[in-house]
Amino acid sequence: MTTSTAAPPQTFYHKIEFEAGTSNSIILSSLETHIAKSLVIDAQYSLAVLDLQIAELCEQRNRNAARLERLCVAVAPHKRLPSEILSHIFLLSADEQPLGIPLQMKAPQWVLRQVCSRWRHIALDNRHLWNNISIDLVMPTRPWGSEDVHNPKLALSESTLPMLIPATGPLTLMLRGNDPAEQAQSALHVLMEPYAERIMSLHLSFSSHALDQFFEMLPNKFTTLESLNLEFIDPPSFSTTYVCSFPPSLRRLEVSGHSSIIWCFRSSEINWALVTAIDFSLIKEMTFFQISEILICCANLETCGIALIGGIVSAPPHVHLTLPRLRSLSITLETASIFDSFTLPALEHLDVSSKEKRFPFAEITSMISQSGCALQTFVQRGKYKAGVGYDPVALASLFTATP
Amino acid sequence: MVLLVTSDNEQFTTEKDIVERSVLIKNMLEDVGESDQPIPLPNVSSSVLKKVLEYCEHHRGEPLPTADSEQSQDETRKRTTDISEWDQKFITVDQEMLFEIILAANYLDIKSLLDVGCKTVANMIKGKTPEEIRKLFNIVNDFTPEEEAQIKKENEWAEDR
Repeated sequence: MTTSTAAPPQTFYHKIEFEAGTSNSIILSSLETHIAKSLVIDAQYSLAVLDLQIAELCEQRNRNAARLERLCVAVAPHKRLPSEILSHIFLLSADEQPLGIPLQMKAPQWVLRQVCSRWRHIALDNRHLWNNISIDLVMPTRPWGSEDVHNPKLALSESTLPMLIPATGPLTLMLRGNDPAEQAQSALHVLMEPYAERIMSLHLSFSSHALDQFFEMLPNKFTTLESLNLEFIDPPSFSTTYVCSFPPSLRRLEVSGHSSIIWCFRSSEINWALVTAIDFSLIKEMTFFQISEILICCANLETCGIALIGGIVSAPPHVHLTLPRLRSLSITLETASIFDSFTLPALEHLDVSSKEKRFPFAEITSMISQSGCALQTFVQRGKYKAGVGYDPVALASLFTATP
Repeated sequence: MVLLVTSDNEQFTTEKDIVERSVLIKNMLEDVGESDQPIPLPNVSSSVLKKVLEYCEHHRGEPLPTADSEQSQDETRKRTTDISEWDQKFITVDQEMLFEIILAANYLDIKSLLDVGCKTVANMIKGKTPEEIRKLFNIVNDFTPEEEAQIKKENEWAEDR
């Protein structure tokens, strides 16, 4: 009699694992159950061993990854850049954009101060990143009777501004708002006045009624102001205060809004001779008569942009403007007759946009000839059909007229 | 012809008008006068100098930026990050080489090449979050607890839009 110690056949295990193990209806015998339970223990052990190995490998991998990260940081090429180059790169990455208030997390300047300690210090030390600020106080249209409601953007700007602006040096500031006059005046007072003598470039977009106090402060408080851009969001009334004078530093003036805002500049005390650049091309419905009263005082004007309406308000015959230093004139007009009123001996660049059917070549040529200017560039704009308006002969005679 | 010797002792012979785009080398040549003496460049490796010379050769004959033009650029705060097509292709290199080119341009005083390098890095930074910038340049967040607290406080004023 022999006893068999041979292992159960494969079919035996197959039945346990793949037949009973994948079915809810096959019931194992007690022997099969016994064997199956021992197989369970084996499988559990083998799985635990594998889990342990995997955990060890994961841990090893993490250690290596962290090591690699540290080594990459150790040799990171940006570290070799001197601070002044990194600072220059920061300026380029901000791309001339002013820092907006309310602040945004995505603002390039804001991002740079949150990268690492070195970048933060370099960014904070670079005053050019923080001296160009744009404050937006514009509120959505308010329901009638809620004019006295406090503008939350003002409080936010008031607390944020001192934190951002460098302690010294020139500033560029843009402020826009649509609050009623009294609130807007208070905003301008709070946000602008403490820095008035450092502001070199200022852009204001407000209701004309909000600018009364600003006009009063302008000549004496804004002692370093070189460039002023005034955007009037509504026409001024007769009660609106006018500009008394400009600070002696002012060279560039840009104004936009309805033509009635010209009355804000009616004071005979305004020292127009200081101004070398004027851009009034965004003043709507301005007449030559209105602008001529200003231009006649601008003896040192070098660049000028204007847009004029024509018709009955075209140039009065007695007005003649000689601007001895004007090098660049950009003009949008409805009538050609105004060119007779100009003598521009230094003119080098002329940009004419005409709404007339016929482009005023003859009038321009006459002006150039009369002025004796050495025109270098000429730009003709207008809505002309192909072949109409563009006149090579007239264009040639225009340049022939230049010395 | 001018002989240049790099930090890894490789020699490059190049034409004077090419290499004179470097203000440093131009001044050195003016100082030594007509001479066959090699010019040592201990801060520039051969692989970097090869790239620098490629740039100088492409831009040979172009006017060099003057002090006046640099000043007027500063005054108008013109900081456009546009890069010409050739320069863009030229500067498409790995980060290590990009920063080496910037350092070499700074050392050799080649303003236009320094600009191209700086603009490229600026363009890489633009539009990214602090975390993305850290990842891109292998920067570790090493703020002190005080700085972290300050940043947290500052961020209360900023809108996450």
